Amino acid sequence: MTDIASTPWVGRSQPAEEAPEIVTGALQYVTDLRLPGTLHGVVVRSTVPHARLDGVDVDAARELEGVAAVLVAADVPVNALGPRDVDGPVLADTVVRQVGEAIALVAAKDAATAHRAAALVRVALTPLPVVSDMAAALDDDAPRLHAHGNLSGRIAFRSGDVDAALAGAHLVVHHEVRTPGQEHVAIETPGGTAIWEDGHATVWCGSQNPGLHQRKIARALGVEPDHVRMIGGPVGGAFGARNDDPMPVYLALLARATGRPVRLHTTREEVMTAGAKRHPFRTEITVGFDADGRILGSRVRALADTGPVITSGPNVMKTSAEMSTGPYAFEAAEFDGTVVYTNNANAGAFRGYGVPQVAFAVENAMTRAAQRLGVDPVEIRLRNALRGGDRHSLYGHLTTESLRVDEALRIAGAHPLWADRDEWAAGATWPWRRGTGVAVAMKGVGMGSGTGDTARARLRIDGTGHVTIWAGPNHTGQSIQTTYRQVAADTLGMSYDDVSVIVGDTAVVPESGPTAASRSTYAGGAAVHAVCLALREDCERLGLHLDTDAAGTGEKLEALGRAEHAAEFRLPDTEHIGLVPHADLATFAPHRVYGSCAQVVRAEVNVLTGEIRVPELLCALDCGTPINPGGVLGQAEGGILQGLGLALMEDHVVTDGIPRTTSLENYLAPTVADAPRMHTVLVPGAEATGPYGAKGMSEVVVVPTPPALAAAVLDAVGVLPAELPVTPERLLALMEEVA
Amino acid sequence: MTGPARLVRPRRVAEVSALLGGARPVAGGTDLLVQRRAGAPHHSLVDLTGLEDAPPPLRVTAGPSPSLVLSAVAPIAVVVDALDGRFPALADAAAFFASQQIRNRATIGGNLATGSPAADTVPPLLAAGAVVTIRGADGEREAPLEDFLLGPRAVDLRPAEWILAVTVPAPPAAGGYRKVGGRRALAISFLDLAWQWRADDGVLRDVRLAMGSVAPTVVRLRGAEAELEGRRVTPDVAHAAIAAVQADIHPIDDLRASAGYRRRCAAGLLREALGSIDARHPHPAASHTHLALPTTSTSCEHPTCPVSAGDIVA
Repeated sequence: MTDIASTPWVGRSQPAEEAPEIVTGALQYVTDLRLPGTLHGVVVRSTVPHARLDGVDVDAARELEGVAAVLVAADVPVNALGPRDVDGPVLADTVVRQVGEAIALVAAKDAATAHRAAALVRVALTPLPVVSDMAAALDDDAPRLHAHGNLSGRIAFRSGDVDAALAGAHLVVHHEVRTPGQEHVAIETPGGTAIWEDGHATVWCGSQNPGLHQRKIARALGVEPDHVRMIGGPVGGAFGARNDDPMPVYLALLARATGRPVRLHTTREEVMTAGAKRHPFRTEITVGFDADGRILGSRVRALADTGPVITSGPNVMKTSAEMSTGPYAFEAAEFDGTVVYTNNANAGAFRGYGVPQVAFAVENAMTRAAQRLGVDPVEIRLRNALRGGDRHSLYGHLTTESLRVDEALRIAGAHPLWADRDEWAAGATWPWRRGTGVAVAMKGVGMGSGTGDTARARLRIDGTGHVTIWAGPNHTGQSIQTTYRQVAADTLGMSYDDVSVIVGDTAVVPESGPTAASRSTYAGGAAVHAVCLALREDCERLGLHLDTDAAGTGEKLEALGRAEHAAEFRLPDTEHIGLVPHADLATFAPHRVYGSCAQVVRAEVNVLTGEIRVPELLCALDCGTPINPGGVLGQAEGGILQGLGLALMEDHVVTDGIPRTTSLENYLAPTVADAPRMHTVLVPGAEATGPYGAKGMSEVVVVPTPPALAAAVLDAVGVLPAELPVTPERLLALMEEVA
Repeated sequence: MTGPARLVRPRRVAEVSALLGGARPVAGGTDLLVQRRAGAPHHSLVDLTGLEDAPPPLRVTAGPSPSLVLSAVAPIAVVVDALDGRFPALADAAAFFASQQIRNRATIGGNLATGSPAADTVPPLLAAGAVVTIRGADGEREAPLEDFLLGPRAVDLRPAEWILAVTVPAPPAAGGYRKVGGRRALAISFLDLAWQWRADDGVLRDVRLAMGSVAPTVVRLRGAEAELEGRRVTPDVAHAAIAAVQADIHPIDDLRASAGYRRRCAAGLLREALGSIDARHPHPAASHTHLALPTTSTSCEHPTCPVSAGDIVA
């Protein structure tokens, strides 16, 4: 643990290093790159959800003047987006399984020609029956989307005797919830530029995992990974969407086929039709409580729709499983989660990664139990809170001391938003009613035990004393490199300005895994810390003084051939894996480190129309040391707004396999006019294994918002919404049902 | 005009109609761009924003009962600023119309010409008895807004005609607008309601109600108006007026909302508007009603109010 009172950089808000360029419009995003002689690419996509692909006639398109290439499945050296069949092809081969699935790629001298050529591609299709209902996907008579059927994955685990626990319970709450597909709505839609030179591909395209995209490109092109350079930024937002995105592969294929730079930039309608969404879930929970509100046991069943290919489906359900016991300590727990294939939108990684869906069930059940038992909603959660060092309720593994669910709840409970809720409710003006809700959540940091999750950093000091660091995970909008610089400056005892950080380029940045799983600050920051320590220790051994004579030190190290260092940080597995068989550790991947977040939501409900307004919200955030507090606040507020969108309006509608919400006119996400006044309070604490005590936070902030909103609605009008988003229509119907 | 699409920008009102053969008039272009992106053909355009002799954003006529003449080709933001509180229902509608950036471009003329049943400026204009001034090759004609709206995306504009201005009698002080949508800006309405009336010692006179997104065009709620006209808003009168709404609306299911929700919400919006004056939910009947006045009631005991005290969990 580190006392950040003495660190000049860590713990002090630092503007994102690229902020001036962003706000002045000077920043060149990957889709802004223009190389001389660039061709324009277009993707020809399926307009039907499920069909046999009888043939693709590209002759007319290829003959059009100005067309440089039209590629179909047969033109892709290895037509696969991953090692398994269920990863799906790069281009549809014998079947299409989703509206928007890529069938052909076109490159032409300009955009208009590329679109004309795309329109000339003739696709012969025989329609097949559509799997549109996740609940029917495993029926015997359901059309099979893959050779082995429609089961994408299943994860089940049990600790203790749940039946006995429920049988002995004073109160059993059974609750079923539905959560929708959610669109990431990154401001920059997928796209970029690729070139092919001397048997090497260079691809500029937004990526949360440049190393993975490098390997995907290499697989499809049939070349060695070191013949592919992936430059994954600057990108205008990700939120999970740049994890499963096939765009870098399309770009590389077109560049190689034409030998010229190719640029491709999807439209909003295209990405909303074809891009990955948050997995729609149906989740069912049964929880037993004693008379004091202590949880005796819980059983959670979840069903998720991953669309036609696997992407992150079973991995998302793995996180759902781990968080199906919420941030609570109890004896008997059971989880059974199933992921199915359908012809609906492909679902993939999305901030929260399976946790918001199950947390909505868990927290709604806690809200209901508090109401039934007459226990204060903060108090019932405190009575059950998992404390740092406790064993996890499902897997029995050890958590670390930094987990502060209880303190987050205490801060929420003491805040005026909660404490003064009755007075606030009394000020309501007909036909609006006011209510206040609370919810809490936790989420693991990193990929979990047994996964070998590792981040790496390289460093070089030059003769002027300037230090350059190449590190990952990549920057995808959160300005992680600013955080890395703060860690480096304090570790080296140097100024922030004397350190540069480069991220996102596979040619220079060592493999560091994805910008995902709330791991970047924790793992990437720790790797940066380690490489800086290596330099500092070298200097100490050699009697050199980085802090007072960086230039002299750099010169001497260069002369000695010791100016470069490398280090890695492997995320520590949990110290005690509990009930999980050792051989299955990576299957369940229990975490060692968790962050948590409690939120209080104030809501106003119109009893005549069902409208909801959220004027104010509190977020108590357990993130360990905030390396860059301003960055933490930005992540928290953005995450809360994404959570409010899920709670109130965001809903990717697909009917009979046809996506209906394919533009921002009919898919609504919150605007600044919908944003509440947000208060974020950081819970004091530090994680011993994290850089300067930091741990990840940018996902957990999304999780409590929907259930806290639902609890606020219950408080306001006496009904507990179980389906997201809580639209005016749904809420009015609920109120009428009760009336 | 034939050949590639062209854009012309006349300087004189008198020049416009001659240019409209084969071309479409455009002012803010905010709906046109969306239609084009969705695949609409690229017609030649006559830009109405460069007219040096266009009417001013607002002209208030002289005389004992002044009228407001609103420019149809000036940005909505400019017109509302010029109104300076003279037409509160329109100002309320403008506040929920798209976003500030769009209000800085979009015009009332465009909002009318689009013929959308969800056009936000139409309910207050219809409730206020607006008359549309239409300019054509042979000069000007006037059409009551109610007659001008023919159906979804259909209005009474003949070839070479365009909208120059909209005139409304200065509305009474009591009036307002409420929109229900999926979010608080940049949202097409699920439905909306504009109302105006004079309250003489609690008795309503000149009651005018208009509702959007519940029929092929924005509609007057004539049945409800008749129930309210010349009466005090007792619970029975309110109940009758709310019940009468249903006969004047013909909502459909779409992606935004179901017909059933629109019917219930239509009743709710009128209930809310009347709540500003009825005895059960006492509000001063005067002035511009934002429906944000304090009350201590925690439940509504009125028979038409969907929530009763029994719903509330303490």
